[in-house]
Amino acid sequence: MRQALTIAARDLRANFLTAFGLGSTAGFAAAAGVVLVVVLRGNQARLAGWFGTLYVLLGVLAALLTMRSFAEEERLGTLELLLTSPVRPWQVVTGKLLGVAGVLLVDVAATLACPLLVASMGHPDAGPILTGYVGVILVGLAFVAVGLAVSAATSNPLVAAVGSLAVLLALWGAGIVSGGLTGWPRLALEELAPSGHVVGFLRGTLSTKDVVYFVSLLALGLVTNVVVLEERR
Amino acid sequence: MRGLAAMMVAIGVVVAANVAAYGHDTQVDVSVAHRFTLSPETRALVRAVHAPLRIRAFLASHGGAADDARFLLSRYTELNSRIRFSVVDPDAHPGEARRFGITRYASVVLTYRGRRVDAPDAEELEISTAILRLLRGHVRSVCVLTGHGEPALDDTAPDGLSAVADLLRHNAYEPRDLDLSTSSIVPKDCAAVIVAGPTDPLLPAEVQALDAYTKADGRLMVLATPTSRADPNPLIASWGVRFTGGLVIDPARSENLDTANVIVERFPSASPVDAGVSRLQLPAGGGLFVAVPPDRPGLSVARLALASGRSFVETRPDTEIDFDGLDIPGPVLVAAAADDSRVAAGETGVPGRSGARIERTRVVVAGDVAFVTNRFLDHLSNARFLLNGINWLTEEEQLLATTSRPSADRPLPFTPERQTRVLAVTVGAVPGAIVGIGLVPALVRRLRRRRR
Amino acid sequence: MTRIARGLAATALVATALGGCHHAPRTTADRPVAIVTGAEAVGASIVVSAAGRSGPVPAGDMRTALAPLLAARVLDQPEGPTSYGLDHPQARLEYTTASNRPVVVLVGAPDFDRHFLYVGREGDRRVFLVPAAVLRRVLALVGVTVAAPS
Repeated sequence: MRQALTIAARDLRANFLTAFGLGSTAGFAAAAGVVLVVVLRGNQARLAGWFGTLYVLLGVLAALLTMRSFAEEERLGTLELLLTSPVRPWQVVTGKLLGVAGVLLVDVAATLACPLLVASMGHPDAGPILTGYVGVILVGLAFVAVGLAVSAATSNPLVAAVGSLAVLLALWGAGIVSGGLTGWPRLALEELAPSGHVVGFLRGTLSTKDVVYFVSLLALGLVTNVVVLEERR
Repeated sequence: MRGLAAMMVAIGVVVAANVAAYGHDTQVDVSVAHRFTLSPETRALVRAVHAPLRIRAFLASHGGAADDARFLLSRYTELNSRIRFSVVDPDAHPGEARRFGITRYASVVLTYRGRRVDAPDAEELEISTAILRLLRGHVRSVCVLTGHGEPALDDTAPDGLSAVADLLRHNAYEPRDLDLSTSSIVPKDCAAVIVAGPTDPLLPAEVQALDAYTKADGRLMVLATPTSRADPNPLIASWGVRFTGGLVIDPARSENLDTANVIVERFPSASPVDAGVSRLQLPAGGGLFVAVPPDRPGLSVARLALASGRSFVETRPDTEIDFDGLDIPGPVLVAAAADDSRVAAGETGVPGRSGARIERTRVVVAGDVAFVTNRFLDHLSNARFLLNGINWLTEEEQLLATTSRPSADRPLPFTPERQTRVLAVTVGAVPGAIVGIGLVPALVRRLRRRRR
Repeated sequence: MTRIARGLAATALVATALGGCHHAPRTTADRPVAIVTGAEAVGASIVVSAAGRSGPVPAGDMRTALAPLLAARVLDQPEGPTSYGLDHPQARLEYTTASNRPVVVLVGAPDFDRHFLYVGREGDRRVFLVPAAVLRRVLALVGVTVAAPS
């Protein structure tokens, strides 16, 4: 685990020492602010629309944050060093996940000003804000795991980012496609899409099936990541 | 090959975990007053649905109400797959709205085994109550007195009551005319009797018939009107309520400078008749007062609706509309509900009725009839108030969860100043601080390099 | 890296737009939408016609309400025109200028609670909801009565 933490600390530091890392955090916070303004034009102290858009933005952020995790290392030739060192693939993957998760936490913390502002102006229901942020963490980690897996499979950061977005859009699209179906195919596609699993977070409820879904996505992303690294080794 | 096997195992585990979670889903609801968790009563009710039940919620597709409704209604469908729902935007689908006679937002139509019941809002309490009515299956008659110049149930003109008839039919009641000039007895199958604004006096025999009906466990609604020669007091005085006549004037709460077109915002009672009622529009109504005889311990009268503190009853509306010594000061009571429960002796020789039993009379009185006419029924909470009154009279009031849910409305007027403040903090200060903090190490490094 | 950044920015925009589409309602109501913009209406003569009757909209309040003509809501994915009374519109408004092609606006049926009228613009498949109060006096010029809200 020590090796994983070392990798995480290195990535975390590297991220915030670059203009890209700072820019993505500042950009995410600013985007959250713009979305808040649009949502508050409904003259209601409700943040469901804000969190809903934040979940979509998290997909983009996860793709941006993970694109360099493996692909950039391979491009620079440092991945080979990492894979031939005595560190096991799962330790590398865990380290990378923790590194990006740390960045994600900072990014999410930067949006806390939004609900605080709303609370200072109106009386929002605290429950949906709490579950909304639980959702942000779960959705963010799951999307990061998907992004890491895609990043590990390519040497081009751009391809990694586009690939991650494609996977996430395909999952999101399953929810849209399900609308035209009936019976169990509809149910299966609905359950496959993240869109159906974030609705509860927006309303102030936490259900086991939603939590299990995002933990599953996280686990599947990590396993895929380990398998890809094992193959490349 | 090992990787492929590991992936297959991982996918298998993930699918199994999700299927298990889907089948045994548990939910924690941290929203205020658990708005999205169905009560045990609702859960039991929903499981008793054994045929397809369709719920159509007519709501604007934009805004939070439709999303909340979808989320809440999906809780019902998760419990019982025979329940299906749709959220219909009546503006986008006017044909569907016309087909169901929808004239206001937030109407919810439930259909089951060919029957229909409407819920006045997409909240659990209302929807579950509507399901309960559908499951009970029977349609109860509401008899409306005719023959004295009352507005008619089949009259679609602005002063008619056709909207009341529709409202009753959509809530598992069958409205029908009651003509006491041909029969001196109120039929037994009348679940409630409405006396809605007679302009001509009732015959003594009719008053006697209605009084006898009310005293024998009757359920009476009297909607009085000051523009009438009929005195409603013989029908209601026994139940602790009296009609003052005159005209209620409210300089503080009225519509379009018409001080007799009163907007009522005070509902001091905890009666179910006031449930969900926020404002009433009562045009050209008279006042009421409560006078419960001391020798009637079983009689209680709830003050349902009061006009504002500045209101008064103008006793001579034909001559002047100003408060003077002859007028009755406010706040004026404009609606009341009386409940008289008494222990009656059993009937000897009648099997099953030999023991003492509880008799109950319920009476709802409003000093106005215009508020239920076609012109005004859809205004503010008028329809809700009328239906609550009928439900309370027939003891079909909300039988499920009695806890009141808080309003989902959380107003936040987003003024330009507030918008500027939000933008300044979220787009200016926070990103600026992040960049600033991030630049500190770079500046420190540069300074160190210079020193060297 | 610049190329990469550009590509990513474009992809991010597409992704956000697609994601947003999934959340987007079928109708919009945040702010009024112009059916006939101010620029299109500048200097235009507006003629209202219905059932063989027609006449110019006089200057003043009535004209101001129509130029620009604003909708309170827009149905982006409407049903067929029959649903909104636009297959047999009860009236039409024609904006004519010397330079531009005339703009034709069709006025259909009232909505479910009669607060709005359905309005279409020739060549535009969207359906707009215009407050009945805006059109009531204009339509009265050609003998069309707009019922009061329920």
